[in-house]
Amino acid sequence: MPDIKVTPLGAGQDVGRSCLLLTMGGKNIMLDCGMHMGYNDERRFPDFSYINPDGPITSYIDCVIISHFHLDHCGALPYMSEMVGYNGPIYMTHPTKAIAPILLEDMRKVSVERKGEQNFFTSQMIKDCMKKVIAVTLHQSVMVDNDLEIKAYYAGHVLGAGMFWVRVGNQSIVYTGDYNMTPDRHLGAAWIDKCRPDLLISESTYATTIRDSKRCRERDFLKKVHECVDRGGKVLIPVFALGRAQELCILLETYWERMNLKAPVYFALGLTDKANNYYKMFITWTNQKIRKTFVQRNMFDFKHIKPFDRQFIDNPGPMVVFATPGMLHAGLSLQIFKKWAPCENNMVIMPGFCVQGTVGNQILNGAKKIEFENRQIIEVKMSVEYMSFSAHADAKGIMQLIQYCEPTNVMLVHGEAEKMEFLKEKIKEEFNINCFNPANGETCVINTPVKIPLDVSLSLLKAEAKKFNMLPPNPERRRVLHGVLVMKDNTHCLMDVEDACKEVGINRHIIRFTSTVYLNDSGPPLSTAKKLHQLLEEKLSQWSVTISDVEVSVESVIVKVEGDENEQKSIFVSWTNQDEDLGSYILELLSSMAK
Amino acid sequence: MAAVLKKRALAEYSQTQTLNKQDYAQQQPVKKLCLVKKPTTDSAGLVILSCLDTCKSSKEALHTLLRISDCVEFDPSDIPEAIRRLCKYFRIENESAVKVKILALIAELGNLEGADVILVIDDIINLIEKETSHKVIAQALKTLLTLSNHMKDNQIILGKLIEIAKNYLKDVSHSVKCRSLEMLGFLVPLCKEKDLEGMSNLVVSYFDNGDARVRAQAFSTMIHFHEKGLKLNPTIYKSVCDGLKDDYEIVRKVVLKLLWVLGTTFPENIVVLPDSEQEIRLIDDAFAKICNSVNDLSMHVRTHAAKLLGSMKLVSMRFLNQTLDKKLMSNMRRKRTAHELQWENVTSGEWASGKKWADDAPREVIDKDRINLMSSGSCGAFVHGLEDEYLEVRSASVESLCQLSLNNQQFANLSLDFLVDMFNDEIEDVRLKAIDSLRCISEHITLRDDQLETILGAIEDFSQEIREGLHRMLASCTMSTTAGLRMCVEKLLDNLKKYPQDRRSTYKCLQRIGAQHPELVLPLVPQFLSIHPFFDMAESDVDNPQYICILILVLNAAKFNTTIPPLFEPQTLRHYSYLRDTMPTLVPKLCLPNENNNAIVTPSSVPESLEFLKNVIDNLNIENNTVRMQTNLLEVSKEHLLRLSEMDSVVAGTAKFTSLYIGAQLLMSQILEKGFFSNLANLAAQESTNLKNNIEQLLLHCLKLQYLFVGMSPLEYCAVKQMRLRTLGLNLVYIVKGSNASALAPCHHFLSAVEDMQRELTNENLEPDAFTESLFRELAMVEEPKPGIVARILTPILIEAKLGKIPQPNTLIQMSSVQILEPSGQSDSTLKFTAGLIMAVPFEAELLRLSEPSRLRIKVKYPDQRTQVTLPRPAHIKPLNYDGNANDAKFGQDLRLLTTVLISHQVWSEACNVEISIALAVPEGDIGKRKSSELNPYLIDLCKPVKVSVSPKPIKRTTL
Repeated sequence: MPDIKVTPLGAGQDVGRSCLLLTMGGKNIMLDCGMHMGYNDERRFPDFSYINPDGPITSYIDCVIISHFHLDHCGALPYMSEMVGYNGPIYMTHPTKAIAPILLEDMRKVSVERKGEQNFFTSQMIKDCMKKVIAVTLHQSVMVDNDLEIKAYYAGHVLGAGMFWVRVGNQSIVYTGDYNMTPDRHLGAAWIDKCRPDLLISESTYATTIRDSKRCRERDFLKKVHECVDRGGKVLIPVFALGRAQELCILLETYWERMNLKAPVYFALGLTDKANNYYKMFITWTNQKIRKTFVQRNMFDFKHIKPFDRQFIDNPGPMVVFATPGMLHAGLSLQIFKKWAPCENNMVIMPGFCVQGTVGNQILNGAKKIEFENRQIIEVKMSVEYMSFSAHADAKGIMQLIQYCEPTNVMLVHGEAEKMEFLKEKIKEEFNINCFNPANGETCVINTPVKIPLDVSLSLLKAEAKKFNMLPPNPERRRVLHGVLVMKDNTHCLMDVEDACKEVGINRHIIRFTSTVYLNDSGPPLSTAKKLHQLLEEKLSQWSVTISDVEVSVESVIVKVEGDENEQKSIFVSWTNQDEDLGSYILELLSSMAK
Repeated sequence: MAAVLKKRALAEYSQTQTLNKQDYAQQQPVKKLCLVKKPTTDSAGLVILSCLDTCKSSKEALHTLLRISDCVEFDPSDIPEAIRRLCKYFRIENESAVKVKILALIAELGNLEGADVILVIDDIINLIEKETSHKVIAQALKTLLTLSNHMKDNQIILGKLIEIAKNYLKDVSHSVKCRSLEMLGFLVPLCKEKDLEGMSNLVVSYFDNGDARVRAQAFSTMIHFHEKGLKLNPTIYKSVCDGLKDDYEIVRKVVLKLLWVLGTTFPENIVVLPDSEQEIRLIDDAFAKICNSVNDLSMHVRTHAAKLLGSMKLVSMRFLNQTLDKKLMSNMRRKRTAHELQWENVTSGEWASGKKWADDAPREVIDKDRINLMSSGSCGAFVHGLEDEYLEVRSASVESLCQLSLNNQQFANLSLDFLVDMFNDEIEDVRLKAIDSLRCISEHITLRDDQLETILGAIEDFSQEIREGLHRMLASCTMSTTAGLRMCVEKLLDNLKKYPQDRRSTYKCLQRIGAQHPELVLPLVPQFLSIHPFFDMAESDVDNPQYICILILVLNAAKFNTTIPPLFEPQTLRHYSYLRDTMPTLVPKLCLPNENNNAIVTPSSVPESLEFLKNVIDNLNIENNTVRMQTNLLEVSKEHLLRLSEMDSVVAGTAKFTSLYIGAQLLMSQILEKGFFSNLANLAAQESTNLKNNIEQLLLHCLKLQYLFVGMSPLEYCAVKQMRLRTLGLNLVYIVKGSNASALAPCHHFLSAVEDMQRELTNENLEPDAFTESLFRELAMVEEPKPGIVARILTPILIEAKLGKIPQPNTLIQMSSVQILEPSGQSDSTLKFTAGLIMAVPFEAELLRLSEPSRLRIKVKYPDQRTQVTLPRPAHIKPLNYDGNANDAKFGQDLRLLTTVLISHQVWSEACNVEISIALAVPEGDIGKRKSSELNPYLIDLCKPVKVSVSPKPIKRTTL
């Protein structure tokens, strides 16, 4: 029994450090190679020693696939390829290849230069690593080697995020990475065709959530910003550099355009600016609206959003500022917050979740006074809003994807264990398929049915098709193909009997089974034959029953009536090997009559 | 100079002659001209066909066939022969591509007049008897199908074709199968066979065919059966539902349609749900299935599903409500939607603080066994549809939502929040559609204040269309509280400051709001009109648009609420009479109690005016002996009518029409009286130009009569036409007698006008007037209508025949008119732009009673007398009144033109006025090309031009 083995090195019943090892048809594939943002020790990287306790892993891994550029999916890549040692191919989509090194470099800077860590990968290592990357396009079928084929599908989530379909021989899996089933302002929804893989490995961040329509949240967000600007206040929106920031920018930009607003919108320079260039370039990866209008104007060429300068903090009048980082724990966003917090006209909008201990978390919990390290105390009079814009599929979205691609098994990763349990039960219940959620390091074995591909000669198929189509259509009828299975030089093929005989050079022997049944029926044999004909026609309505003289025949079955006009007739039944079913049925029928 | 012009004109005419071939040939049989085209017309097809026999290769033959189908036209008499030859060639040809082309060609020829279709059908059946190529057979079936269109009543042929189709169903190839099924779909319902049941069973058995194309065709054949009136068997429902799981989108799409057909034909049948004994109505089940398809993989299927939902009106409320409900949860806890939250906040009297982070925190824990994540009926279909990635799906969903809400108040109230959410869509068309939908369902809805607030949030939109759409919507909505009304009015006024161009639309909106909510307006009156119990407040400026808005609102409310008028202060009353006079459509007539000083004039319609009009016309039609008196009388009545048209809007159209008609008669009799037109030789130069101008004037009058009025009855129309005919005759005589220009083209034009006239008169069964009658009589006797002869006949008739009677007034007649609103022509500021580049001037006009919008032109006249005529883009022309009943095209449409006029010129030394106006393009035949030297003679101005001061500036060269 062939099987598929999956071992999560990270992201098994957990979020962060996505890294799965997949063994299928003799090939080893690594899906994602992320790091954990919560740890600063060796736990932040997947445990590559699991693959090879000492030394490089090139010989153990056939290829590495990276789904998108978030660090929890690609953060450990330079470490693995340069420090552990891996020289094989790495696959990712074009935007991911463009943006990932920027993020890696940024992270490296923060870790090494700010936190002063040793033994971290260097800039050069990131560059060397990226040289090993092979970029793929959506729906492009890439043959890694003769047996291993991969194909990328659109996943929404962030620019360039992909879901990967991997096939070795007859076995195939789909790995989703992170995906989003509802479109947003700059990206479309994830899409996959009915590829019917043996296994679907899906993220399950929101396994127990069904989300409301996005429109309400957007409208609320815009309304709040608009009101604040109208009353002359300043709006601070702390964001993470990539992903949601672009969505919010587009949202504000179009709103400003629509409403003809004049208040300035600023975007703090840096990382995001560089990434924005890539957003401008990879137009084909964005949603319908941006794709259709970019000829007139590229939506990422912001008309109303201008780069921010630190001096603008003290400018009078209304303004909106996007600043990093998103949790208000350091950097520019915190600096701006300190300045603006005491004025009640101002507003801060937190577009995402904030970790315990950050300023963001404190103000979300309603803290009115915040104390900083240097004993500085800031009164928070500005209004604080929370807006969740998340780009993961919710429970309904995950189910939707399963419905789309119709897998035979599902595996859930990238989520919390107890939430997974719920979804797992649901999947089992509603689709009636197996579902797994292995923990880190736990190997999960999935059995797949044996499929043997067979070549069939064209003439054989055509003859059958003709015969089948001649009969009145009936969906229940089985299609039967008579042929000889020829196994030669490690290939299998189904051939016409005659052709096979010719090829092997043997004469064809036909085996006929014959039997005689004695039947009591007065009258001439002809009338008996006619009666039999009638009977058979009745019983075998699907077949064509013919009669000539005293012989009734169905396919190769011959029923012949012999004897004089006296009571007893001997009925001679004969059939070939192929029509064994039919022949024995008729014989049984006749012999039961004889009794 | 004149000589050169004449020469050029002559040259032009000799060119026109070649066009009027027949006419020309009859008169001057110049062989060279006639022979050129002769051989190509009658048997060209056959000639090329005979080339087929000489073709050496199939490729060559194919080229020949392509040439035939591309360009050759066959004579009806040649068609049987052509088909015979094609069939002959078909037999000897081996290449299937050629055979396919031949069959396609036969289909084309068979559709033409002159083909014996029965014979052709038999031929084709014979041809393909031995055929093995699937392509050829498929094409043959297609040909048979097209030909069968002519044989709808011939049962024998139909029966034969059905047998053939059934026979070819057994073919292996999908294309042949598809064609056979298609044929069955078209033919079976036509013939009255007994075994229709069997036939539909046969088609049903192809629902599971191995080929997706055959499956799709089988389903659509069923739809055809239904469309042709055959009753489908509801038992197929289950197998149709299975088709929804098909891998191919073509199949799924057709299946959806078929499901919809079944659902709407057998709504009350009972379906038993699998895995349970629950029974539901068929329409509900079908609805739920289609709802599920709103989540389909393919965008086309989703769009189709979303569209179909709207027309399933019989669905139970339970299923309908589910479409807007997506059971929300967060970490296994039930969560309320933002809409529900809002509703709760409103009902509890506690306003959303928005400050709490967790105010949307999930509530009770859900029992995990009770949640069904997939396929639970119609759950959330519209929520998904409205959130879709593609605008096609979203806008189809909006449409369906609107359609379903139209006759269901409860659902309308539910869908309100969702439609309002769509105001924030990224695509303007979708936003507009949402706004329009909301307007359509507004009669079911009373807006809560918070809903109103969100709606008003969208009104600051930069796009004028969106804003005006919102104005229309607000105008038709019902508001619940005074506070909401005040918020709405204040927002509208604020917005008017921001976008002054919205003035008219805001007025209209406030007019309706006022009229609909008199009770809500009442408490606001003192505040709005700044009435203070003790102090006299400063009087507002009556030219201030904001103040006018308030007045319109209050005055319209006052009409329905008698408590309001007593509140008015004296200046309000003065302003009322001012507004009543300046904008009578926006301000209603009020009965003000304590008003004694000035009676307000009522310039509305009175029956007397029609009476007067009738009198005038009757008087005119009384026989008067002297021409002099008649003329005087005509002139006087013309003036009367013009004045009347200004006074009474109801009879204005017909009064204008009659006065124009009288004007034309006057001109005509003036020309005829002098009699110079037929005797130009002894005419002074001065008089000659006079005459020429008069005739031109007359022609223009006739064109105006023809094109500027709508709602004419055939009687009036024929009167106008006959007047035109007479004018054309006059013109012809003038040309023949008075100029040395060729009269061939005008003569031809005149004759075709006579033919038209004759046809029209017989069609409408009307009596021709004296002139036309004698004209018909005389012309019938002429053998060869040369210009000279025609002119000779015309001269006495023109002089003798009396002028036609003036048509009786018909109040349906309305005159097309245009009012240019923007640019207003009153602004003093000069528009500056760089010379040589283009400047866009926003342009807005209201076009009333227009019969053919395609004739509209925008005319821009520069100070150097150059004129540019542009065709406005059809997308910029919109109906003026959205909720007005669909006007009959005969009575003209009220339109609105909102566009930009492009202006460009080289440098001027100072600012000058550019004139912009709107004109109607008329067919050029009547006036003839004589006036080509003048500016655009084929335009009739619809309004006075507005002047825009413009100054092109030289390019500033910045020195580096």
